[in-house]
This record gives sequence, C-alpha cells and structure tokens, in this order.
Amino acid sequence: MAKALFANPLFKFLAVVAAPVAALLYIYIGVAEYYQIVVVMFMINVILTASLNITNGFAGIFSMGQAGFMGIGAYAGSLLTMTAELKFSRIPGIPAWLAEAHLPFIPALVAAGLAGAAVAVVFGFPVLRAKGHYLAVMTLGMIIIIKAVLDNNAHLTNGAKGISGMERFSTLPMVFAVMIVSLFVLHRMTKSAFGRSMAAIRSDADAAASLGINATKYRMTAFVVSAFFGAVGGSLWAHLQQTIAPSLFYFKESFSILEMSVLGGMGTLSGAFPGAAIVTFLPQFLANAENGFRVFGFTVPALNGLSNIVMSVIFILVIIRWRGGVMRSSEYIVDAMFGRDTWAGLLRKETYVDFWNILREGLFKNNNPHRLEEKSKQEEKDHEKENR
Amino acid sequence: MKKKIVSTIMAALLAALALAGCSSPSGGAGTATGNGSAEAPAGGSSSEAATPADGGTIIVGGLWQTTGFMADYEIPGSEGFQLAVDEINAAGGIDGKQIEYVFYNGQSELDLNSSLIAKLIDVDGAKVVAGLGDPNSAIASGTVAQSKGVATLATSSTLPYTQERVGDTAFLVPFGDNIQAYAAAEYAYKDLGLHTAYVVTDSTDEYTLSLSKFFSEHFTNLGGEIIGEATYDDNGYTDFSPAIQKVKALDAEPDALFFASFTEQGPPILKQFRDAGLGQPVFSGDGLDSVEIAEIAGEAANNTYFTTHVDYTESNSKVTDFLAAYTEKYGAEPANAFAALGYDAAYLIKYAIETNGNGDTSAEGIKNALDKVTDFEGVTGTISYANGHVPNKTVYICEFKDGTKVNLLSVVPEV
Repeated sequence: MAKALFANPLFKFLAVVAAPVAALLYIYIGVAEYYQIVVVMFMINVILTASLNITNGFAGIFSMGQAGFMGIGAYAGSLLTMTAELKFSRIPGIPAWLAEAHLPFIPALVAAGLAGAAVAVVFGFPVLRAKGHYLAVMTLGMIIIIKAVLDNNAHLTNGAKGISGMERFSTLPMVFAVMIVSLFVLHRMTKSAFGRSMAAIRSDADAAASLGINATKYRMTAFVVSAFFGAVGGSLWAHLQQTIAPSLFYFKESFSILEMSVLGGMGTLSGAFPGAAIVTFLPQFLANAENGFRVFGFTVPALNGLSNIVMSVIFILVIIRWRGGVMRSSEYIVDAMFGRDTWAGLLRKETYVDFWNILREGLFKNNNPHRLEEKSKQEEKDHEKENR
Repeated sequence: MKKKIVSTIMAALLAALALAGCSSPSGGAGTATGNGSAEAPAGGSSSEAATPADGGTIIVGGLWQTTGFMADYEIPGSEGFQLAVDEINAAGGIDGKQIEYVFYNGQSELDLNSSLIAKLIDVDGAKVVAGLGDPNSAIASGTVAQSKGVATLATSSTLPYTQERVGDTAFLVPFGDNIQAYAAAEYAYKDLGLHTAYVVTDSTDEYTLSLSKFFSEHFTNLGGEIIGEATYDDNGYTDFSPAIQKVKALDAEPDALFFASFTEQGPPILKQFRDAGLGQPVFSGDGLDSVEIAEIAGEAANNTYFTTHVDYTESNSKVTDFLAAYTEKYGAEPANAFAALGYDAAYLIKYAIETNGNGDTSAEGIKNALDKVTDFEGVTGTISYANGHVPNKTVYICEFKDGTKVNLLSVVPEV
C-alpha cells in the first residue's frame, strides 16, 4: 500500500512540492522572524550538504574541506555586495579597485561561486592526485591554508577580526530560489552522462578508464562543481549572519557539513534534506535543555553542555538505526521534485483515480487487493528502474 | 521492505518539516500576544498600557555560551546573572514586576547565537538580552536584536566599537579593550619603568587582536618601544616555541612581554616562556583572569600582570555581599570577574528601568532607560552610558603570585 502511495505522482507532488511550499509560505508570511531564520539556515545547509555529496558520495572524493570553499564564497560575496564606503571603514588598507567593485546580490552570488570554483581548480591538482584517507587529510590541509590566507591578508579581509555589516540579502524566498536552482543543476548533472561516469569511476576507476572515461577530468569537474555550490552556500551564510571571520570557516564548520552529509546519506542529493534538518533543527529544540527537562517521567537536572550531549546521543542513534544515512541511496525527494514522472503524472487521470483508490483502501480497508497489488508491483518496478 | 522503511522515514521527515513550520507558531503565538504584534514596534508600546496594571512580568533573555571556547567566561557570567535575577525576584522584582528569565546556550557558535537571539525575542518575548559571547557572536546576534529594537547587554565581549558595528541597542557591561590595554601599558611604562615590549597575539580572534593593537598603540605613545611581534593562529595552540625563538633572536631582550591570549593558553604560554629563560614581567588583559592559571602554572605564573573588571578582595559592601551570595549559591568563589559582570548586568536592567523607565517596560522603553543610565554602582564599578555604550570603568590590575591572584591597584582611565 505504502509503496503504491509513495510512487503516486500526486502523492509526490503533495508531499515533496505542495506541502513544503505551503509550509514555507506560511512561515514567510504568518510567523515570527525566528522561524524564517531557522528555515533559511536549513536551506543553506541543504545546499552545502548537497554540494559536498557531489564529491563525497557521487565522485568518491572524500573531502573534509567544504568549509574552506564556504569561506571563500562568504568573503568573495560579501566584498562584492558591500558598498565602497563601508569597505573603506571596515577593512583598513583595502585597495581601491576592490572597494569600488560592487555587484547586486545575485551576480555577486555567482561570482562567489566562481571564486570558490577557481580556488578548487588550484587545489584540485595536488589534492586529487591522492585517494582515500590521504585525499581526506589533504583537504584538511586545504582549509588550514585557506584560513591562513584569509587571516593574513588583512588589507583584503580585515584578517581574523572579520567583517560585519553586510546587508541581509539571504531572505527566505531568495535562499529558497537558490536552493531549488542549485539542486536542479546538481540533479541534472548526476542524471547525465557525467553522473554515470562519476558513478563508474567511484566503483572502479581502472575499469572506467578502460572504457575511455577520463577519470582525472571527471574528478576535477566534480570537485570544482562542489566547490562552486559550497561557495554559493557560504555567500548565502554570510548574508544571513552579517558577520564573518576566518575562524568561522574552519574544522568545526567543515565537520558540521560532513555530519549532515553522513547523517542524510552521502550518495544522494535527497540525503541533504534529512541531514540538514537534523543538524539545523535539533540544536534549536535542545537550546533550553541546559535548564533541565523531564522525559518519560525522569527528571534530567540542569547541566551545562547538556544540549551537546543529547545531540551527540541522537546522532549516534541515527547512525546506528540508519547505516548509510537516513536516505541511504534513495533519491526519492529530489526525483519527486524534478522528475518528469511527477509533473507529467499530474496530467494523467489515472494518477488521481489511483490516489483515491489507495487512500480509500488505506482509510476504509475497502479491499480490492488484487488490482492494487499488481499495480504496486508494476510501480515498484518503474521506481527501481528510475533509481538505477 | 527496505524501501518501505526508507519511504516511511522520508514521509515522517517531510511531515516533521511541515510541522516544524506549522506547529511551532502556535507556541510562539501564545507569547506573541503578550507583547502585542511582535513585528510592529509601534504595537509593542501601545499594548504596554495593560502590563503595569496587573503587576505582570518582564521577560529577560540570557544567551550564554556554557559550552565551547567562551565557556570559561560565560558560565560564571550566567551564574552571576541567575543569582541576581533570583535576588531581584525575591526582593519584589523590578517596579513590582517579576523577572521571567529565559536562558539558552549558544555553544560559542555564531550561527546558533544569531538564531537563538531571534528565538528569545520573537518566541519568548524577551525585552532585553544579556550575555552574547565573543565579539563576533555578539555582533551577529546584536545585529539581529538591533533589527528588532531590543537592547543587548554584552558581558564578555569587550570590543570597544560594538555600538558602531551593531547600532544603538548594543550595550557593554565591561569596559572596552582600549581602556584595559591602555591601563596595562601605563602600568608597565610608568609604574614599573619598562621601556621595551614584545607582543604575542592569538591572531584568531577580534578580542586578542584589538587588545594587542591598543596596548602597542598606547605603549608607543607613552614613549616605549614595541621591539617585535609574534602571533599564533589556533585556539587550541599549545606550542609557543616559534614566538620564543623570535624573542631570543632579538639583539636585546625586551623589558616586558604582552600576551593577548585566552585563559586556555595561559598556563602553557607562561610555562614555556619561563622555561626558555624569559622571566620578564608579562602583561595581559582580562582573558588571563583566572586563578586556575596561577594554580596550574605555579611559579611560572609569577611576575604576570593582567587587567580585569573587579577586585574581589575589596571591602566595599557591594563586593562582599556579592561574594557571600555567590559562594552560598554555587559552593565556591567565582573563578573570574565575569561572574560579577553577569551579576551587574541584571541589576543594571533593574536600575535602568526603575530610575529612567517611567514604568515603560517595553523593549523600546528598556533600551531608552539604559541609554540614560548614569552612575550605576555595581560590583564591577560605576557604569554610565552618557558618552556611548561602552562604559568607562575602573580597571583593576592584578598579579599572579605563587598560585594565587593578588590585586595590586585600580586605575580610573581617562579617555
């Protein structure tokens, strides 16, 4: 029953498109700003996680350096959207050409992404020569280098003191639009010949090479694309928090993106949603745990750091329960969002009839089991085909 | 079967996502009705007419970093604030209104702070928020509060240009770094007659960078010479040999050392410099204010002078009463001056509302009342916001001596 329901285009539309959009609309117009801030943080985290999944999940490049690209994007984006006057006052010694450079938010966002991509090209040559653990450690080195550069070029970045005073461009509609566009681009990429080649390289680079796939080129492309969207996420982050400093884009942030990626499922873009949801929303709910709370009749006393402990325990439980991440390798959410199946299915009459039948069966136990079972089998097959 | 589980979870998550949007506002709306329309500042004051009549409460927010790298400063701060809130409520509250205190842990993380301050204000209805953590977090969360017209009282950020960066709702309870670094420079140059200094700075933080910048500036202005500088760039740094080598390579050893560091680096940096035979007087700011440093570093901590916000050995009744109450509640004397700053923050709110508030306990009313504060007598000295929101307070100079902290003198700086 559930399978048939989940495969139904109308259900996909309602669950993945209509309900979330309605919820977002409600949050945007109906409730206090706090909820908007948290949802914007969530959506930025989705972009960051999805961008990391391109390297870590799809291309098999286990990078731990996403915060570095995020930092590049945050600085590049902020330096472009701030006014010359503000830059002169906040960044002593800034060269005039950089101070005068000013772009509207969206071009600045693209420029920030390109800056991240350019940095990825530079690092890509040495880093992508390594594999596995060695590569991962090299990406850690990469964030150390990026931070050192941001720290020590005070005439461009104001050094470790950071910059503040950017305008709050990262509004809910803006970040939502950027998230949808980013996911769409990444989704198309993973479904294209490029995506298939990445999968081939990930499972066996030598075999892929024997088929004429240029592994170096694809790995580099994946790394650069991932950096582009990581930097876009960083720029959005900067224009939400309105304060940036090199120390904010360091190990902690990098591991936090990695956490989201692993919790949600590295090998799928859809994993970005549950992963980012857990890491973004949990600390918000647990923020008052420090004051002590009651759970199942037990009283937990007030204790400094309790929220961190509770969060860690939940992370461990999630990983134990869902090895391979909440979504494992399912691309349900993103497929349902952009799949032709969803949108074309909405135009078919059977979609609605089936939806009604499934609902009726579920609600009233009014069985016409034979027909439905067959139908669901067929649909499962379709779905599997699509996933493959 | 697998697929079913995955899909079920997915659906549950979607539902949770949708619910996160739908269910929470109902909770929020409950509080929001109390303060009129949270979005419209004008609505806030109009609904205030109802509040004084029923005695009512004043919702005060606390945003303390009880974990993470600011915890050394903010746990005492949060304890001091809580103590003062309890005392104020027991004594009848502020203008007869009880304080309803809501407190979150920002975990020393900027993005958590900037969202939680919105939660304090939007959801819990806080009219003033204290705490806020390190300078960058204080700027980020202060900016959010500024956009909502709610005053913030930073207790551990000593960034002198906070108001300039954030706006007119940002207040500092402690003095600014310029004042404490100037006091250290004057003490080194004038009182101890030291004419050359070497500066070592933690280059990862706005606080440490400002501190050494202001020290160098004033020391040079007085006629001294900064003969060299070294930086280290990691909060978890424990090996200071590069800086030590640089000092040793100088033609003449400096008369004094200035360390712009956090508590965590205190013991290792002192021990390593002393072990290398560099026994010069060391100067630092309130980041080194912790008895633990003297306890851990022992003799190596001798001849170290730092500036801080309070002298707990003073016989002033404000200080002795605070110490007695704190020790009674928490079982030990406060670890540093930040406990007293947290304590003062709460009494400052009370003082501002009772003295200048005219019964207006809206966010705007409290902000305006704080603006007019002159001569508030706290444990950490006198606070006036007449000339900007960074008070010009007494700086206390202390010394570590054989595992203890000794108060030497207090300086009222001129600005």
